Amino acid sequence: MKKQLLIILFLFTAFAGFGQSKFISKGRIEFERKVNIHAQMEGELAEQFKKLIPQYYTTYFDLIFAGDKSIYKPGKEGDKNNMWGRPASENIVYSDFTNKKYLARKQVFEQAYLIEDSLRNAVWKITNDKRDIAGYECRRATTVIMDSVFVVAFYTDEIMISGGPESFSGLPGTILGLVIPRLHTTWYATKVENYTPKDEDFLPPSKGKKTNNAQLKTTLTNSLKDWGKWAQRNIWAIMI
Amino acid sequence: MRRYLLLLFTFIFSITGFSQNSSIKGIITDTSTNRNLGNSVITVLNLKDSTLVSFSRSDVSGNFILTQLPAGKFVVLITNPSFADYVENVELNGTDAVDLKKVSLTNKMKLLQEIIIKRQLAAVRMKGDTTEYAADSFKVKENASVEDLLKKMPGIQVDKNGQIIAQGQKVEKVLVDGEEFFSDDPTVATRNIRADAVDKVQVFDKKSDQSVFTGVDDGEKTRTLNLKLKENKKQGYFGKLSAGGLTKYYTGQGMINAFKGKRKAAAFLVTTNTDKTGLNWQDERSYGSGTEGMFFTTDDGGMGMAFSSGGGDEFGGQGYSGQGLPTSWKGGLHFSNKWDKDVYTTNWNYRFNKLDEKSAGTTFRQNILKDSVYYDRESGNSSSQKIRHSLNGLMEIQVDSFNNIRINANSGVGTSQSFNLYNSEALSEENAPVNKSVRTTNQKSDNNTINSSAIWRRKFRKKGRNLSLTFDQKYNESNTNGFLYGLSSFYDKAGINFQNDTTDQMKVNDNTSSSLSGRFSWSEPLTKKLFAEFNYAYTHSSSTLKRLSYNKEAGKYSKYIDSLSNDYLYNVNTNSAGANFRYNTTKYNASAGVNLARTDFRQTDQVIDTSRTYNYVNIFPRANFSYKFSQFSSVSINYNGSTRQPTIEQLQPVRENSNPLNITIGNPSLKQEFRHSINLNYNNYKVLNQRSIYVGTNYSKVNKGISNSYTVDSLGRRVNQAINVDGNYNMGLYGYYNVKIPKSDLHFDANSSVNFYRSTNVSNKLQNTTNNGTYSFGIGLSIDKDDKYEFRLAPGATYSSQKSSLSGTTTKYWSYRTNASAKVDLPYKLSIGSDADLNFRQKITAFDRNNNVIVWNAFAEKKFFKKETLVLQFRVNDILNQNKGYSRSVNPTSIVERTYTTFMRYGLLTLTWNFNSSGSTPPKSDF
Repeated sequence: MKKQLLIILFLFTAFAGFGQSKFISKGRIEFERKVNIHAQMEGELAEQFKKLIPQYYTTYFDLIFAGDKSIYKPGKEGDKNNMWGRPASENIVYSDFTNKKYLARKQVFEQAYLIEDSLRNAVWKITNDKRDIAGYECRRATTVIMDSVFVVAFYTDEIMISGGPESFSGLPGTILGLVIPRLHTTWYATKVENYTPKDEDFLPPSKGKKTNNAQLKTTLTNSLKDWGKWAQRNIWAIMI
Repeated sequence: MRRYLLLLFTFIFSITGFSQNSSIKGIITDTSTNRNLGNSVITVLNLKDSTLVSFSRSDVSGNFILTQLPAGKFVVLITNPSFADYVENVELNGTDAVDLKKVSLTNKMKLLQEIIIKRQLAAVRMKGDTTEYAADSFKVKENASVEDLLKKMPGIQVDKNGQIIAQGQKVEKVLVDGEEFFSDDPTVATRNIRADAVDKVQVFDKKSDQSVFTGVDDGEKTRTLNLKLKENKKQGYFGKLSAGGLTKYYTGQGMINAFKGKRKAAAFLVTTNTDKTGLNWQDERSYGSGTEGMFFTTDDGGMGMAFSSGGGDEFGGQGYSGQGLPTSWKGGLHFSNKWDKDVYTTNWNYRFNKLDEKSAGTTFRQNILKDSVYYDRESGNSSSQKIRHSLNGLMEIQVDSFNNIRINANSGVGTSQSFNLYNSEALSEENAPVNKSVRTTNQKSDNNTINSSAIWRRKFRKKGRNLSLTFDQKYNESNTNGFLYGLSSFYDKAGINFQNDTTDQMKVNDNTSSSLSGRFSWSEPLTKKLFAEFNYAYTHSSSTLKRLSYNKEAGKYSKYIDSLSNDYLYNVNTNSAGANFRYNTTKYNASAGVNLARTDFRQTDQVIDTSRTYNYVNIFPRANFSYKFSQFSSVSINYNGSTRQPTIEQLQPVRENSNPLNITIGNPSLKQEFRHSINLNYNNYKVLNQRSIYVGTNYSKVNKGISNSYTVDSLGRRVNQAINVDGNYNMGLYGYYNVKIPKSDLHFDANSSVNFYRSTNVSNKLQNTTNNGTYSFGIGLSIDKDDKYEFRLAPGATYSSQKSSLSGTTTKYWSYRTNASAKVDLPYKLSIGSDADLNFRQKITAFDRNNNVIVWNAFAEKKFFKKETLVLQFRVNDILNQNKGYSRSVNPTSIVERTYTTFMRYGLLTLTWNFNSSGSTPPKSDF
């Protein structure tokens, strides 16, 4: 029965979508980034806090892409007060998929860094689960980064570029949904716009102390060693 | 032959180890139209775990090729948005070229399906998607942990790091009764909970928190283990017993906290005759009323937090002022509970305090008048006892996510009695006596209070729209009965006693005050960046102060003294309304607002039945601007105007003669004062370099400031009265710097402050303006290493100067203070520590003695048992026996130095036992 239903559904979607698949190679995607602030709070006093502050800290980002490059940067204004946010919350990430390199500008506490490194070599596990995000059918893939941080991504093959929010990449399509449970953070595309990027859109970020991921990790580990369990959370948040 | 072999070897090696030269190619077409499909995604996944190996897209004519594939078993997944997924298994040897030829989409459908092997055994049940193990069916050793229990369960494996594999999949989360246990590290629960506390172990796939919160399923599921505890193990207790003593000093503490779910009951009893009279911060949180953190939103939309610790009366905190020798008893009971999914919260506390104190002290005062100097010397002995019972209760209801109601009430009943004996003399500049007196006061008083408040907060769907309604009630009464006996002798210039006065009076002081107030506040977002807040408040307060004095007549205190008696009623009604606007952007916040208040006063003298009414309309302006350079650096400036009301004691037109040589008279025409304050602050914090800088300055100016006027007559008797003066101001500047020295664990800090203030008073009908300046700076060096040792050294110096217009004299002096402390953990659970406080003060008056004091304390401690539950400590206070109580204050027309009894050298040996019920899980307490 279930199988029959599936086939019917299948035929239906195939029919409805017939001849309509437009593959998108350039445009702009708006992402809504939500941090669940309540989930980070523990203990007795947290209950009082939760009553006073909103559960989510929401900000917006744009991913502009064309051909083999993309740039991810802060978009329209979201919640203003980053008191409950994290360092590296307003990153600009320029990715070059042909050369498999990226250049990111991250404000890490008082220091702005320009991180130049190769694209992350994540081992993605592809599943058969699907869901619709911003009108696109997305397939669920998971990976583990930095040895222990579990990441869920939903990508669509209708958008050609292998990119996504921050420096997440390497899937056969564009990531429209990203969930990092350990950081209580989600990114979901709210709209995909037809847009022809101009050259200045892809100006790589400048200004900042030049570094790479390995150096940055060493610096952070040294500076945050007195932070206890918060050190690891901050390092993850900065290094994603 | 060998060469061939080598060649063969290389060949085999290359195909098995290094060859990544397999390829897959094909052409993709649409079954129904036979059209070739471009842009289809061809994904190669590992068969065993479906991880991504490689992917590509077909070209416009539907052709694709994936090259450089390794050997192995793979799944080829071909997708195209409008078509069904195509799945085919492929095995590659590392060199072959596989041609899938024509791949037709939609006519083949395969779904990857997870196969979960389910086992069913005795003591294991399947309930829907959940596998449930009955814990009692698995035999474990006494005192075994949950981890040991899990190892016994079929289908569950635990490795040496504590990682759990349940039914072939890694367990990401361990819950206790469906709730996260302290941290997201599963071993925290499995290694800390005893096996015999567990009733059932459940294994299931939990939807992510995100999907539970958002209601949107993100498809992510986590293999989860839930430990259902036995009902009788959700409860437990922990506590502490401590006893110490040596020579005549002792301490005793007993505390227990019992909990069951969210219900908590605690009790404590503390007694001592040392200076440690209260509960420390940690014990207050565990056994006392708990620290009540109050959160509030600030004008710029930020958050603030204020702490108040339990007690909240004169016994609160440590309770001991530092002067005299106390003997103290404190006891408390606490009960709190939360129920109905935390909708209801209640919190009750009862406190008992008893404090006996004996003290002795001597005060020297150098009075500087326009053209003369004279001295006062007073020595006193006092003993006092205070007893107080207090009860407070809180009830909070989170009606729904928009409505919150909080009701708080507290009451207290107390008595206090004291006996004081004073000997004083006033000396002229030539050190000749002007007057001498002996007096005793003996008084007993009762004090009762009842306060309550209720607040209703309402949030709305529109973000930023809030409503709050607050109601406050306060009532306080005190009745004091006292006796004053005094003998004063007066001397002329030749040193001849020409007059003696005797005072023998009974004093009855009855004071009640009550107030009721209501406040309404509404905030509304006008635009995304602009917010408005409106408020209205009404307060009615009423105070009566009855001061009655009686002279002794025929052995009875029956003669009413008109000049020293009064019955006064003071009513104040305030209506206040205001508006505040704030504009927030990511870079800056600006806010400005004003409150208008009309205050009506009515003072009624109930003895002569006259009343006086007057009113003020006050404007309370405020403005604030802050600019963020970054998240860790900002500058802010703010201004506000505020008033201060005279107290009823300052207003009541009656002579207060508890010291017949130093009388205070109320001033019924005293006005309120108004203060303008402005301050500017800058801060900069570097997280990575661990450096922080704070710099600030403030200025405030007082109009009609409440000050003091006094006259001294030829007999050396002083009469004080509060008056209004103009021209007072205060100006300050401070800075703080802290940095971690690179490549070391050493921290350096420096602080500096400069303060100027001008105050005016009236002395013998002549105005005296005093300009004060203090300049202080200090540095500190500290190091601490992984809880193994910590050291700190912090020297500082202060320079004070004061110039009085009346005498034309300037008083200047330096004082130096150095603090040093060290703590080291040694092997065998031993630790030692020591701290020293060095105070050196420059002499400024003729009667100054040596003011240099070094207070040095040290302790040694040994912990016993695996969990360090037993602690033996030996502590010595003031090893050098130099802690003479000493204080100095420089006032507009006098310099006052005081010495008093306090704790000097003593040792104390203390044994502390921390205990808890086994198998129990204490409730969360850390923030």
